[in-house]
Amino acid sequence: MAGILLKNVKKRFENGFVAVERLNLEIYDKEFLVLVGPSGCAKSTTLRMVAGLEEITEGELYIGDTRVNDTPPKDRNIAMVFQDYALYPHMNVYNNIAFGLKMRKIPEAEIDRLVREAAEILGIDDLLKRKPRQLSGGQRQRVALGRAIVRKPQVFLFDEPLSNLDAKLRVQMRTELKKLHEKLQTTIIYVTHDQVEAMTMGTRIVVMKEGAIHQVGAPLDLYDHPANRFVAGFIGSPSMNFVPCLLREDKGRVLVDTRDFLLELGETQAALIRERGLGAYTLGVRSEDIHPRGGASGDLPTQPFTATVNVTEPLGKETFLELDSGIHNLFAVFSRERAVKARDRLELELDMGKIHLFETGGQERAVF
Amino acid sequence: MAITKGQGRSFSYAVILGYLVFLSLPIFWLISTSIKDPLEAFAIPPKLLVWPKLSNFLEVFANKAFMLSLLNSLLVALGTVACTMVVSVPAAYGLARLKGVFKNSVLSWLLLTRAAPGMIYVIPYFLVFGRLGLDDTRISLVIMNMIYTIPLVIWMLLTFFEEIPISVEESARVDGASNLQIMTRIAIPIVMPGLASSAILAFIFSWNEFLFALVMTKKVATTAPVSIVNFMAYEGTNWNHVAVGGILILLPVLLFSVAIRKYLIRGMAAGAVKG
Repeated sequence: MAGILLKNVKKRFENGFVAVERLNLEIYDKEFLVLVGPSGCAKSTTLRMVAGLEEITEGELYIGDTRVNDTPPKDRNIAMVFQDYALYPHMNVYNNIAFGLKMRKIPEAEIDRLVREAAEILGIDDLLKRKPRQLSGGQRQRVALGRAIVRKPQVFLFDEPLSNLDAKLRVQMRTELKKLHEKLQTTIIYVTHDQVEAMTMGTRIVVMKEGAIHQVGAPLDLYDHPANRFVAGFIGSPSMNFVPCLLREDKGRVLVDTRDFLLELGETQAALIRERGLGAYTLGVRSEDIHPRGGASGDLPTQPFTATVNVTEPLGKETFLELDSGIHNLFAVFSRERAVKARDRLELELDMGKIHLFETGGQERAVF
Repeated sequence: MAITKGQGRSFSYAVILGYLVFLSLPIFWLISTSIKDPLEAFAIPPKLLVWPKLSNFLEVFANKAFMLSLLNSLLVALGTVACTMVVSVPAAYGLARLKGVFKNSVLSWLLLTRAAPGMIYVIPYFLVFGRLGLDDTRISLVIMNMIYTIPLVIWMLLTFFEEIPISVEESARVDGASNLQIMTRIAIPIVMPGLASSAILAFIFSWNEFLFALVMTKKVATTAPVSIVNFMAYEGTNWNHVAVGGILILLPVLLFSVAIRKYLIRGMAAGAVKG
């Protein structure tokens, strides 16, 4: 079992495009690390560099204590599951799983034992004679997993393995992958563009954009304390509400003026702002932190404001609302007990302890 | 006046039928002439139904020179297919995975090779093989046939290899396969229908080839399409024997094509869709 270290890793393609610039990341032994980000953020490129399928232009990659920049994929003791499963169409399930072992010249009897053991773990022992075209999407996924686990690698690499499955199967497979991780206790690097997968599966999440890491942390850390506006907007569903605002001082208080409503910051929050400077910021508030008047929790005083309900989206146990506060549109989530319909005029307040403020220039870093 | 759907369909069927008749008539003539005697073969009006005579076939089977030429055709065709596949399969695989301007240049050069008429190659090769003592040999025909079959097979297989998802090969790479193992154990088995159809086309080309065989062979290595001309003697043409010879040349290719037609269609269709 092994940790992985990427040190100042850079990837420049032949056409001159720099996909990854100075990436530094340490992946701990046995952790389930998720690389998440929008399309084109170089998460798959990073994964492929770890696999050895892409050359590293500059920098160093270590698996365990071994520098593996020039080591071919087959000698890195890794296993990879691809987005399209990449099963060998001319081989049956048994031979698909056994292929890697045959390449390593493992004795036939041992191959048979390992293949059947992996098939049993994944519940595909009755499919061994079938060809990939005779399998459903979920079954193919399991065969791809079987091919990976049978080799008992140091590191598993998953490149969006669930994106070709339907929603229900995806949820089921997420749980199964987590259970597999618990059972195998092997380092996993998992690439996805789906922040829900990232939040539910990872022990740590790496949020990437345009070849750079924006934040690394446990799921709830990223959710509660996003480092910048991009991370705040990417993690969490529905996405965080962003409202441009002006911070000004009035009679010793620091006020957040959104032009629709005014908020007063608590002392700690105000102190942080005074250090940074007043002026233009972006207010961030999650949909579950917008409450009907009187519903906010926490010790900080709240300032009510009104908004009109544009659209309601009942989801069963909760309802999504699109609200029009005058100039800004906000998304809120209410429990289903709170009966609301379109065109209702609501009095609302925010959980002031849970709001965020982001700088407006540069990396749009979070103040709090 | 508007044409109805039924009229349009009837017209289409009539055209197809007419074209089939046009295509089939020479084959019909071949078969009927081969089982008639000389007088019946050229009777006016033509005799459609006759009592079949197999004596023409027996006479041709007894013609050692022609039977040897059939054997030569078979050996040259099989040799061409074998040598072509040995060269073309790895070439097509390599080109499929190659990127850049070099690839386009190679493909263009292959296409030009095939587009050039046979006469361009005949004279230089005639002189070279003559110097090397390879004139009137089967190997010289195999080499010359490969001028055309290699580009044909490479172009066909290129499409098949390009259709293999890269992730399948990368998966094999991660599993521990070398480049050669990826080609032989993964890529080639996947493109087997393409291999079969291109091998068949190479066989058919070589089997029917006339110009190279006419110039390069004299006696020992003469192939069937050239040898059949010997039935057209100074004293007169034995059309019954010519017809039998034509059937014997046609039959192996016809049976072969029917037996593996699904591969042929799959191969042609895949190439067409990709192209």
